[in-house]
Amino acid sequence: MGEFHCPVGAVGYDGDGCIYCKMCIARDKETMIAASEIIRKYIRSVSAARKKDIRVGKIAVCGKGGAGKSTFTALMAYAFEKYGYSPLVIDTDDSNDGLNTKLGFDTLPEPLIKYLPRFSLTGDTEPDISWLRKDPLRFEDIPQNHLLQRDNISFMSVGKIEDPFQGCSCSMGDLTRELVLNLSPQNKEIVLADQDAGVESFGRGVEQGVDTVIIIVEPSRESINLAEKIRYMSEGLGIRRIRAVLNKVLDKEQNRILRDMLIERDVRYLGTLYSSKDMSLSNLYGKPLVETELFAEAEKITGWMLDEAEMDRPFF
Amino acid sequence: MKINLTEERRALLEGIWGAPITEVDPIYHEGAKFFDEQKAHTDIIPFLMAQMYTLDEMNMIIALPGTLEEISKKTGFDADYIDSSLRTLAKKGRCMITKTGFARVTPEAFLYMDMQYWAMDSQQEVYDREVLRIVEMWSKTVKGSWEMPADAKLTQRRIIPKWGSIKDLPGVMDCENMKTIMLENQAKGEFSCNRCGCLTISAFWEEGCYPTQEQIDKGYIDESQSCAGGHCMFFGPTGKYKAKLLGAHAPNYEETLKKFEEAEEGDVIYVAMNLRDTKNICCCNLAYCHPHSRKTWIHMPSRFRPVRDYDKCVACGRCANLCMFDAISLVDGKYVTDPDKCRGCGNCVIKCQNKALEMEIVRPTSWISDGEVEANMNIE
Repeated sequence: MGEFHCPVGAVGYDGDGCIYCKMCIARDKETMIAASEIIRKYIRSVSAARKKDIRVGKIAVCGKGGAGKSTFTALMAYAFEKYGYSPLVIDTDDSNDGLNTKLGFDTLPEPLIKYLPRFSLTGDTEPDISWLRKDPLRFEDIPQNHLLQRDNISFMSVGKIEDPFQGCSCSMGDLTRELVLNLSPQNKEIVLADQDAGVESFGRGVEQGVDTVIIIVEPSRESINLAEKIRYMSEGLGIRRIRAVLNKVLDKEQNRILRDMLIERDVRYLGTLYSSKDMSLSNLYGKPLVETELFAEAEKITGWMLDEAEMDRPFF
Repeated sequence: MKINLTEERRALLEGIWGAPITEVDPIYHEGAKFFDEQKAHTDIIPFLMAQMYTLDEMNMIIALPGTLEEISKKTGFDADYIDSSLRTLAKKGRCMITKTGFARVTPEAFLYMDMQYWAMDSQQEVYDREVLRIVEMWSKTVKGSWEMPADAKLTQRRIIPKWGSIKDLPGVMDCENMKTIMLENQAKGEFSCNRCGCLTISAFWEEGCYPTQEQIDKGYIDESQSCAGGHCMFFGPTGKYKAKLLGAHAPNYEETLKKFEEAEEGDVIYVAMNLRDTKNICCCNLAYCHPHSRKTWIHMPSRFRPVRDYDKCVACGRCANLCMFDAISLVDGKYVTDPDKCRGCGNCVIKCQNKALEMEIVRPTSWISDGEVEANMNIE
């Protein structure tokens, strides 16, 4: 080491930022090895703090209706599981179902909307929602009846509007916002929130609590323009990691054009899922998506996201 | 007091110095003691100290580190006198200003600070040409008793790819994104830069002036002092210190963007400490690196590698010409990148006019050390 390049960026020995490791003045092997021990310890502590700031914890998946939000959410959940993480998938979409089947669950968990009097399933008794108000809310605080679990994937649903005149979904939005805001994923836990189509959820500030926004973009001008709008609104909420994933792309040329359009709009690109017959059939028959050919692509995309956040994963 | 030297060593040192090595005041012998613990060849240090510090200054340096009051008490000098003397010395890189007072610099730090001091535009008026010979003496005669083995590889510096080559690539960490690094540090007020220190000091050593004709001919020197020909960039506390106390240039937002664009365009590569939280980046032309280093420096490749699309490549040879590692060669009419030589600097990717090259990630994030200092030092 020596003359120049202080590993911790101090001004010099005894200067600003010096940790007195003596690497810069080391003239023999023993001093150098002792110094590297000190540096290692210091860097570990600093980088642990930095990693905590940039880690992926809560992801909101947004985009135009039919762009493939649920499909990508399901694929991402499988990928996270493969990388050794425990994803909690929250279905916040109030109209379309099907995320559960994509994840291989045949049933639905008890929805959260039963806590709202209008949607109540239990009659007039005041439900106990104190767990929802907990902050920080850990995964294990969520009552089991709201969860479906298989291996390391958990699934919960806010609920769907089933009957006419049941009311608007604003109150559901409040529930979702509170849930996402309070949830605090630990070490290897990830929250994946599949959002409503369009930007309504942003209007309600549901994304307030997330650290990552994934925008699913299909090959259409509206979809790209919406991505720019979502990027703008997410930045307004103070979210730093905003990435676009292209879906249903026909070929490499189209992919190139779409990527250029995203760059033009200052939206960072994360990956591409090409159009796949296999995938659309699986979706049509309601099969779990883990066996589809696009899973490998989704795996790559998820891996890149983890890399950007400096999180551990096996490298393939 | 006499300088204790063997006949042989005296002849060597006087040869470099160009004059007899004379006796010095005992105070310099005392000042030299600070360096004893480093097991260096310290016999010549008292003489060099006498060249660098006046008697009063030496007294003050011996009293370091401490606050102004403490130094004043120890030396008996007036506080104002100490303050002005030590601040002048600090500008020359011969002591340091700390949060509470002043501190000594080590010989290694002295060499480094002095080199940087030479490279700073703001300092050109005040430098002392005599310093050159002192620095030369330091670097040529004061060596460690333990030498790095000849075949030791120091993989502590890594290459950061050009931003243009990876800007829309997924999976890039913040510490590999040059634009993020520069702009974020600038926003925190912790970014300063000056022209390449290695280049400057080499010029003075070789020709006694800066820049040398050779450097101008090779295109390393640009009158506008742009980043295109080589530049030192400092971030974090060092960047702040240099800007505030040494008068190094601290660019504003627009200047930072301009510097960034110049560096991207220039025939330089980015080299940083092989750590994720990097505080010093060389925009390096690889021509004059580490003029007084005793070590061989190996730059670790980045995590990226260019892939060539042969449908777009017209075999113009531009990439082969500009590759600093001679990694690209013509095989059967096609340009091929040698994966062993390629260091993933990204120059060929951004300079290709047909966009025939694109980066891909070939290494895991663990490639960039996150605290594994000793493993990367490869001390064995």
